Amino acid sequence: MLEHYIAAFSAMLLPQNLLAMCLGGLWGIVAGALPGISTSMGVVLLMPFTYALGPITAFTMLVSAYCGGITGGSITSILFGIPGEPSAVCTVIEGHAMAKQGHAAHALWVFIIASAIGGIFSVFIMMAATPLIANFALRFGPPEYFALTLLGLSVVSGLSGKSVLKGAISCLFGLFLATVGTDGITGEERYTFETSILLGGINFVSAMIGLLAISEIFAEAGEPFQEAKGSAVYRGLKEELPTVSEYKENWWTLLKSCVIGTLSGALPGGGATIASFLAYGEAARSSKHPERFGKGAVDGLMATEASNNASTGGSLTILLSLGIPASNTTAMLIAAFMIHGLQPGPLLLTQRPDIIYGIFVAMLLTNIFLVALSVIGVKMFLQLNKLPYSAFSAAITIMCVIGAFGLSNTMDDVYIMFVFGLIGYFMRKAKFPIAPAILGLVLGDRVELSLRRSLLISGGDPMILVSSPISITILLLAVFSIVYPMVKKSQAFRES
Amino acid sequence: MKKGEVVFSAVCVVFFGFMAVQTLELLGKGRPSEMGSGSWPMLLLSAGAMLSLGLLALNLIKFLKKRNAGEARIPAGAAGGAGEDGAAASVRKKVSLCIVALLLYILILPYAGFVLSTGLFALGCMWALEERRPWVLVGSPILITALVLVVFAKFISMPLPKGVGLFADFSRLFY
Repeated sequence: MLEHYIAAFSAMLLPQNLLAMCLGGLWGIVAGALPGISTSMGVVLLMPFTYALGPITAFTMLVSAYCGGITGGSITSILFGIPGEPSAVCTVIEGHAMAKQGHAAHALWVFIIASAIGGIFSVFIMMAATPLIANFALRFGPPEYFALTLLGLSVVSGLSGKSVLKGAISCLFGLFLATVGTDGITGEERYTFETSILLGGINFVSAMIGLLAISEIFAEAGEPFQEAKGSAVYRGLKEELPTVSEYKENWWTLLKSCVIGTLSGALPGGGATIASFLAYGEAARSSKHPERFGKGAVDGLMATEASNNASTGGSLTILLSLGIPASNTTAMLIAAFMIHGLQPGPLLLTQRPDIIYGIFVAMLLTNIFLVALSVIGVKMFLQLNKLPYSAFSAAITIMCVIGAFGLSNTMDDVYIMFVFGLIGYFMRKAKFPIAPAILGLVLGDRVELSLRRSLLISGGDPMILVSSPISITILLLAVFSIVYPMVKKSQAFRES
Repeated sequence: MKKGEVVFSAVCVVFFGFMAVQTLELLGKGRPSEMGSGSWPMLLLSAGAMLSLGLLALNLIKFLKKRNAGEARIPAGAAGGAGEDGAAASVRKKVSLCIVALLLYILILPYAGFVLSTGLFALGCMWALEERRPWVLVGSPILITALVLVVFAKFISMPLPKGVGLFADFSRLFY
C-alpha cells in the first residue's frame, strides 16, 4: 500500500497535475460561489476539458472542482447572504450575520479553516475505509450487486425535494432511458425507432449536460441573475486574522461535525446539505452559547463548514469502493470514469490502484490548497460578479455544446443534449426533481444487468435476490433509506 | 397548483403508456426461464404509468380546488393580474428566444463552422437575454469565440466543425 501512496504523491507533484488541481479547485470555487451554477453543473462543465487529459490528471481536476464547489458555495453566503449551494444555507445564517456586524474577514477565515479541517478529516477516513469496503465487495455476485444498485437508487428519496412521488417518476424515467439502444444480453434493439442515433443508447453525459446545465440556463433566462446588492463591507482577509484559541475552544464541535459530515456523505441520500443541517443542529444543541445562534455564532459556522466539506470524502468512499453514487455530483463523476474507459467499484482498486490512490492524494492536497485557493477565489469572485450575466450565460451554453460534441466528435450528442435540455426545463417548470432522473440513467444499466444475470444463474427463480445475508442486509438498508426520509418528511409536515 | 403541472403529469401518463405499448413487441422473446429484453422496461413503464396516473389525479384535485377557491376571490386578485401576466409573458419571450437561438446554433454549426456560428450565437443569446450595451454585444462574442477556440481547438486539439464550402475556408484561417 505504501508504494501506491509514494507513486501517487510523485505523480501528483508533476506540473500538469498540480496545474489541474489549481485550475479545478479555482473553477470549483467560482462555480460554487455563483448562484446560477451548482457544484454538479461545475463538474459537468469541466468534463470537456478532461477528454484529452490522462485519467489521473482528469480526475485530479474533477475531484478538485468537486471539493472547491462545496467550499465556494460559502463565499457568496458570507459576503452577500446568497447561498451559492443548498449546503451553504446555514452558512448564510451565521456567516452573513457575522459579515453584517463588520466581521466578514473573520467569518471567511473561520469558513476557510473549518472547510480544510473537514475536508482533510474525511480524506483520511476515505483512505482507510475504501480498501476495506472494496475488498469486502469483491465477494459480491449479481444478486448482491442488484441489492447494491437498489441501495444506490434509494438516494432518490433524499434527492426528491418536496415530492417523493415526483422523484420516483423522475427516477423511473431515467431508468427507462438507460434501456434505450441495443440490449446488452440479447442484442435486440429497444426503442430506437429505426434510427442510428439511438442504436448505441443514450449517451448519459450528453443527457446529463442537457438535463442539468442547459435546462438551468433556460430557467435562469427567465429569472435574472441575483446581483450582489447590499453586501457586507469587505476590506480584505488581512483585517481579521483568526486565533488558535477559537479553534481550541470549539475542537469538540469541529470533530463531531467532521464525523457527521463524513457519515452523511457516505449515506445514500445524505450529502453536503443534510450534513450541514445535522451538524448545525448538533452544534446549536450542545453549544455553551445557544443564544448566539442566528446572530453570528462562530461554532455554528464552523460546524456547518466542517461537515459539508467532510461529506465529499464520505461520498467518494462509497463511489470508489462500491461504484454507487451517494450524491448528485458523484453521479457526474461516474460519467467521467466511463469517459475514460473505467468502471468505478471494487475491481478498480485492484486493476487501477494508481487512479484510486491518485484520487486520495489529490483530495488531500486539494483540501490543503483550498486554503490558498479560497483566498484567491474571494478576490476572483468579487471581480467575476461584475461580468455581464448575459455573456456568462452564452459562454456556458457554448461550453455545454462543445462538451456534448467532444464525446464522440459528432453532432448527434449535441442534438441529444438539446432535447434533454428542453425536457429538463419542462421538468423544472413542473417542479420535477432532475437529480433522480440522472441517477436512474447512470445506474439503470447496472440494475438491469445484475437482475437479469441473477435470474439467469437461478434459472428464473427470484428468491436468489434474497438468498444471501449480504443482499438481505443491503436490501433492508435500501428500504430503510427510502422509508426513513419519507417518515421524517411526513412528521415535519404534520408538525408544521 | 399551476395548470402546467397538470399538463406535465398528463404528458407523463401518455409517455409511459405509449412506451409500454411499444414494449409489447419485445415481450415473449428470448429463451424460457430467461428475463427477456422487454420485461425490465415493462416493469419500469408500468410503475411509471401508475405513479403518473396517481400524480395526475392528485394534481387535478388540487387544481380544481384552487380554481374554485380562486373564483370566489376574483375581485380582490384582479388588480395585480395584468402586471403579473406581463412579467410572465416577458419571461416566456426570453426563454423562447434562448431556446430558438440554441436550436439555430446547433443546426447551422455543421454547415457554417464553429467560428461564425459561435459568434452569432453568443450575440443572439445575449440579445435574447435583453443585453443592449453595445460594448458587451460586440466584445463578448469575439472574446468568447477566441477563448474557446484557443482552449479547445489549439490546446486540446478537438476537431471542432469547420463547416462546408466557403465557411470551411473561413474556418481554416483560424484552426
